[in-house]
Amino acid sequence: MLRSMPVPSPSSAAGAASESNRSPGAALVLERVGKSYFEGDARRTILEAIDLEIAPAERVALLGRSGSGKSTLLNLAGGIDRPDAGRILVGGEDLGALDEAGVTRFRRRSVGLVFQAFHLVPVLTVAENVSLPLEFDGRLDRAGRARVHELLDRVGLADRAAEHPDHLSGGEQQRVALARALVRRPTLLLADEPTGNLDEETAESVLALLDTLAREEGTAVLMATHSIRSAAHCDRALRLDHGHLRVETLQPQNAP
Amino acid sequence: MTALLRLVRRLVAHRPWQPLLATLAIALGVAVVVGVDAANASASRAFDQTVDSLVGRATHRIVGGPGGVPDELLVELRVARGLDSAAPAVEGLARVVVDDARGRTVRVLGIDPFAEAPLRPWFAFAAGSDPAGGLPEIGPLLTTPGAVAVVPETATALGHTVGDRFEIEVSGVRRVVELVDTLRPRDDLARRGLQDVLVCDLATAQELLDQIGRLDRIDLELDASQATALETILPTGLRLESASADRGTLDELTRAFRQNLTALSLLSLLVGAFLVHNAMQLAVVRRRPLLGLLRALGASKRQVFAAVLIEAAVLSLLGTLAGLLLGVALAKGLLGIVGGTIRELYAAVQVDAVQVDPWTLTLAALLGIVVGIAAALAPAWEATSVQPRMAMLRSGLESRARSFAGRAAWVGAVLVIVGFALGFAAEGRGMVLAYAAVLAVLLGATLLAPTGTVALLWLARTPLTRWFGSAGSHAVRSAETGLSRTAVAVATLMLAVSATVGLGVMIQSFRSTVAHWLGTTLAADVYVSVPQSMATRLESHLDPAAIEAILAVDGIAAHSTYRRIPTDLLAPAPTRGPAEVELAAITPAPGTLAMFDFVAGDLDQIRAVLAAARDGVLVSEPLAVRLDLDVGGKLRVATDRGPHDFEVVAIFRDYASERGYGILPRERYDRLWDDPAVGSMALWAADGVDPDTLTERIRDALAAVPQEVLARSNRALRDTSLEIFDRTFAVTAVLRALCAVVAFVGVLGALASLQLERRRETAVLRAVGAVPGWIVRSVFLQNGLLGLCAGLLSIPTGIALGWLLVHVVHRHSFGWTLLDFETPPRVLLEAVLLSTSAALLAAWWPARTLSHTPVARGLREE
Amino acid sequence: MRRALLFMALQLAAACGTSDDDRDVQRPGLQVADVLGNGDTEGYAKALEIRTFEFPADHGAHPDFRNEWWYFTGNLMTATGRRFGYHLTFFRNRLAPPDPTASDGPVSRWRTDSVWMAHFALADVDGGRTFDHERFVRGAGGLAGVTAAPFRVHCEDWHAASDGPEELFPLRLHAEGEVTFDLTLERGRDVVLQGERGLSRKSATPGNASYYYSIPRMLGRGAVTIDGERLEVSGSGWFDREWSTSALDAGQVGWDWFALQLDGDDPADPLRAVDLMWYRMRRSDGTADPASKGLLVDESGTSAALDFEDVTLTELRHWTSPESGARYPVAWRLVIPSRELDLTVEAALDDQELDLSFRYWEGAVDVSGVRNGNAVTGHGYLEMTGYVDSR
Repeated sequence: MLRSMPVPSPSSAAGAASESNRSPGAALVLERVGKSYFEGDARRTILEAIDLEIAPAERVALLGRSGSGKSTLLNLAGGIDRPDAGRILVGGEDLGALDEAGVTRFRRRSVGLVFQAFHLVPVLTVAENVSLPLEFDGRLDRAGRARVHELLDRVGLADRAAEHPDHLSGGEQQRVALARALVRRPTLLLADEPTGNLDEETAESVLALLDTLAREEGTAVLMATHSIRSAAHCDRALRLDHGHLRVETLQPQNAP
Repeated sequence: MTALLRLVRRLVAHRPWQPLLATLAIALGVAVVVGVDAANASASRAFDQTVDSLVGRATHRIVGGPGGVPDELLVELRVARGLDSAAPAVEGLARVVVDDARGRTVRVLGIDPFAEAPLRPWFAFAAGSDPAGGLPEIGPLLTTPGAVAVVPETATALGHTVGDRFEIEVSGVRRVVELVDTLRPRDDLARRGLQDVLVCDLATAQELLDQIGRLDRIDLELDASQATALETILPTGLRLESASADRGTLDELTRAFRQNLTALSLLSLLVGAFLVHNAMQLAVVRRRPLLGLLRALGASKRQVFAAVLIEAAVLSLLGTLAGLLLGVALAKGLLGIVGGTIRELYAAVQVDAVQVDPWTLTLAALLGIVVGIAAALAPAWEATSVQPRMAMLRSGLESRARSFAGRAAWVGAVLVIVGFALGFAAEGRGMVLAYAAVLAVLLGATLLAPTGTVALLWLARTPLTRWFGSAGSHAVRSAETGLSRTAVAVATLMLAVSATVGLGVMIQSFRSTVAHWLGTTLAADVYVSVPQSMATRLESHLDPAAIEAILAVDGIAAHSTYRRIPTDLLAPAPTRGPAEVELAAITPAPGTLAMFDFVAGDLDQIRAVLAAARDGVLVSEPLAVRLDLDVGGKLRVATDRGPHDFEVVAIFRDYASERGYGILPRERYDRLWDDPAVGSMALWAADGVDPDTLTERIRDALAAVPQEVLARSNRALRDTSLEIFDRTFAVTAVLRALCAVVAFVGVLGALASLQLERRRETAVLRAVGAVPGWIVRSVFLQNGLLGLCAGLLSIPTGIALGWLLVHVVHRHSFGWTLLDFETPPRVLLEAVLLSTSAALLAAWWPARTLSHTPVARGLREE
Repeated sequence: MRRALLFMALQLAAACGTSDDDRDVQRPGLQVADVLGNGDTEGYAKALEIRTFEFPADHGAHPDFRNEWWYFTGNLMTATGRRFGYHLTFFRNRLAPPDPTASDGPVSRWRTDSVWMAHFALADVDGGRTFDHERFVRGAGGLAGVTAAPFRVHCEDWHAASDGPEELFPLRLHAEGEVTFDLTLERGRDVVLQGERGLSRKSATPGNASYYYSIPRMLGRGAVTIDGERLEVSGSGWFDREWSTSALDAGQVGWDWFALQLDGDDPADPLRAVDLMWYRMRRSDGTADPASKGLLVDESGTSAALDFEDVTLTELRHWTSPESGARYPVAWRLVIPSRELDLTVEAALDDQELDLSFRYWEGAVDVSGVRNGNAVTGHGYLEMTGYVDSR
């Protein structure tokens, strides 16, 4: 179904990726990104000199076992965490050059997040959950509200906008989360095991929706998953293993 | 921002208990501040209104020494000098006799109705002219023996109507008065000022008060040049002063008393602040995952910070508003107690109505909100440190909490040391420093509390496990692992409870000191005095016939007379209080010296002074503190012979008067003042005569004297003094109880919500097999344990607080050095019981809820 | 008895402040009849029969009677002709009859049942102003009172006092308020007794009478300080004395009282001249009461009582007070046919209404007319009460 092969050696672009060999307008660029944590006194390297480039509107699956560093990589790409080494660019913006406030602003505007556990705010309604990123930015104007409505319509939940999340099924909750992630028209959507809490059928429909929306919005997607099925929805797949990325070849399984 | 605020509102609405209790805590704190301040202010205001209504348009007044102002001066001013605004007044206190045991203290005010119109038009209504045009009745006021007039409210209070004759008691002598008219001042101020005043004609007042030939003052309306001219012609011993000099007197008199109360009320607000802090801290801890999510979704640090502060501000605002209302209600309750103490100790003023100053409310409101927000600063700061995360585990937080506890303990220890250092430094240096010391020690103690909690939990683990099995061990472990929440709760409770301990220690130390001092100072066997309120400007004196009768009694070995007068303090300027000083003239007896506990001074010199062999004065410690006097210093006072310099020869301990007084021998007094009166006497029984027998004999001898004179044995006087002491401290005890209520509410709220936080944990436990009973036991055990921790930790903190109150705050306020420092076991036990019982009560609702919540629902909780 | 009414103002003593600020204080309006009809005279001495007057003793107090007054009025002029009228009166009022069962025990020097009132008014005729003042003082302790020898009556520092115990003159008057007034009356006519040898009956009821004597003309000089300026003045005076207990009859509302001094013919002795007192009692129906009485003293000092029938009094002109609305007659014709006397009396200044606890008109008047066919002029004082409508 799938075989592993080394990622094209970055040595071809010696001394880390340079401006010249990077596709102009890439949604996400990781240049020799490294990250390690201390556990007690022991240093544990999670990511080691990762290079990655995702084109606008490209969908990339990130495969790997639990603890392989998928979430760490997503955190770094989302500006939630900072790398020990290397450079990260989202939509051409160098995250390393941003201060705390800048990173927050960047995250607000350029990144959408979807979590395994949905992470909707239970005391807020569906519409309010979707509006949150707009509100943090002070942009919940008429256009903003229209955008919220439009997205809820597109995820098929317009009629439930006033309900609280706990009245929704898991799939519905994740669709709300999807709408929330896209509401600011981010350059990059980061999804961490978005279907991990869903049954297969529901997962399929959520992923299909993600596909459609990402394509329509022109948003690049980086989705961490351990499910090959999920990965199959993407343009390409990468596997994270012992801190390194490998290209995963996907067996097209959605033969008509 | 609006999103965050909406979110906060929803979160609060979702779990209202904790915020509600924080609100209540602020409300209580603000209420106590408002209540105490309003009660104090109302008393002062009532007094000033009395003063104002009695001052009227007068600009100046002439007053004299103990002999008052001679009648002749009025004639001189009005006839020879044509000062037709000169209005005389004769004033004194009297008790309207209800029955033998009861009475109502009133002020007898004798005026010349004809001289009043220019100065005080409202006395015009002494004539009672009613609008219908009936003949006014000035005649009866002048011509009816013992004629008095009162405002209708006072008539009602006394239960008398026009035409009634009733008895009043003045200096122990009963006299009959007749209510001939009611005063109906149209002016509200005058009406309030005349509460409990028997207005009568000058002549009637002189006769009723036994002050024939003597006026208390002459009020005048003068311009500056007239005043200067008048000053030069006044006989020695009389002086011209501003008519409104009495304004603010009560403020001055009761400053220490009020300062003390204010300090204690602020303490209760501080406790409220800690409860808000506790609530916000818990809110932040509880919402960490949510905060992480929000940060991940793009909320900035500033937005998160502001959201927490705004939540606190809203809670504080609500609490403050409730507190203001509650405070006004509380003021009504406190007013009775505060007013009673003031009447007893300071001045005859009837305080009936709470008058809430808008400033008091504004200030208290600001204080409540600012304190509430300040208390949330740390939690708000903490909230911004929450990293944007996809998920957050608490264990990381708990390990940080523990290391924080360690660091906090060091800071706390330093703060406590700094606090005590400040305390020592503050002695005699000002209230601000004293308050800073108290605050530092309390903050330090709260920072030490988490470590103390860890230690106590560690100690408790083994016995609890042994006695209660797994429920016990779980209770301890769960408290330890939830340290980020439990430590804050315990610290807060500890603080709240320690306030009650501190106050208890203070009161007890005070009482014990006074009791010991009374033992020394009441060295004679029998004391004879005239019943009187301490509030009189000039004490009542013994009828010469009574003195004669007493000295004729068999079995008296020695006696000493005593006369207390107020006089003008000319130098040095007081550091606090009015420029007036009380002097006591005594005729020494062989036992006199033994009655004093001298702080400074040479015994030979003191003997010389008492024997009038040299000039000098002995001053009480509070006076020395108030005037910053030391032995060798000079005290310049007004006498009937003009200004006189006294050298301070000794300083003695005294707890009878917070303003202090000086003692000089009678012989010298008689040379400087024209006042033969004797206020009281101390008598020593001859060998072989039982003091009680002597007391009886004196009482028998006094039976023939028309004046009512009290003869009390040493022991009876001592008991009476302590009784007065207890009454004085009644209000402090009330504040202590209020602090306890705040503490109780705090314990209840913090621990109840702490347990409710454990819904999911409990659900898991039940899912894996814990029966409801086990859950209940564990909840009760944990709460009881935490309550006990707080109670135990409050003991050292409370003792430290008590020490500061006794040695710094009181020394500064009252100038009293308390020799005894007592930590009554009852107070300590109460603290532990209060804390533990509140904690156990707080367990009731969570235990019920947790053990009944369906497991599945509990598990779903995030 | 004419100003007995004013004693009743004492009852209001405390009801009204004297300073200007208190002018807005509500003033109970009193009607003469109400006041004088209400007094309880039980326990007081009464003017029942003719008595022998003794001086100086009778200049002093008669405390057994309820009311008593010492009344000085007159006209003054500066060397340059600036004219003033003055009115200084001391009233004693007893609030309760003498009580033989007075309490024992020490008594305050301020203890009293008598209240003194004093009125002082100065009419600045050329300035068109009247200054009025009043005082209430207890009659005890040396604040107010009277002594006969030497004569001294005072309310605080306002006083009328003789220098020595023997002679009434020189008699010094002093009062001050907005203006200061000092006058030394150097000499005067002899005392004349009013009514029946000093007993002035008010009605047929026994005891409803007063003892009343006058010194109808005195001469003196002094100073008035007005607007900060001290002006030397000289002029005349009239001294009235009355004490009584009785009250007015029901139905009497007020009176018009004239004290007129006609200029004499003998410049060497201004005291040789005609002096005339007349009071008209008015009843509520507007008519004059037959109890109206008077006295005429001729150049020789001979006095003769005037009865109701002797005098014809006509009101010629009225002035309405803008403050009280009272309508006062300010010009009169007074005719005594039996004496061939026909006089026109006109207020020197219309507005001499006194705004004191009790509102009345008291002021200087000019006299002109015919006596025995010869033209005469003179000055005098007029008091009018009972014109203020008390609503």
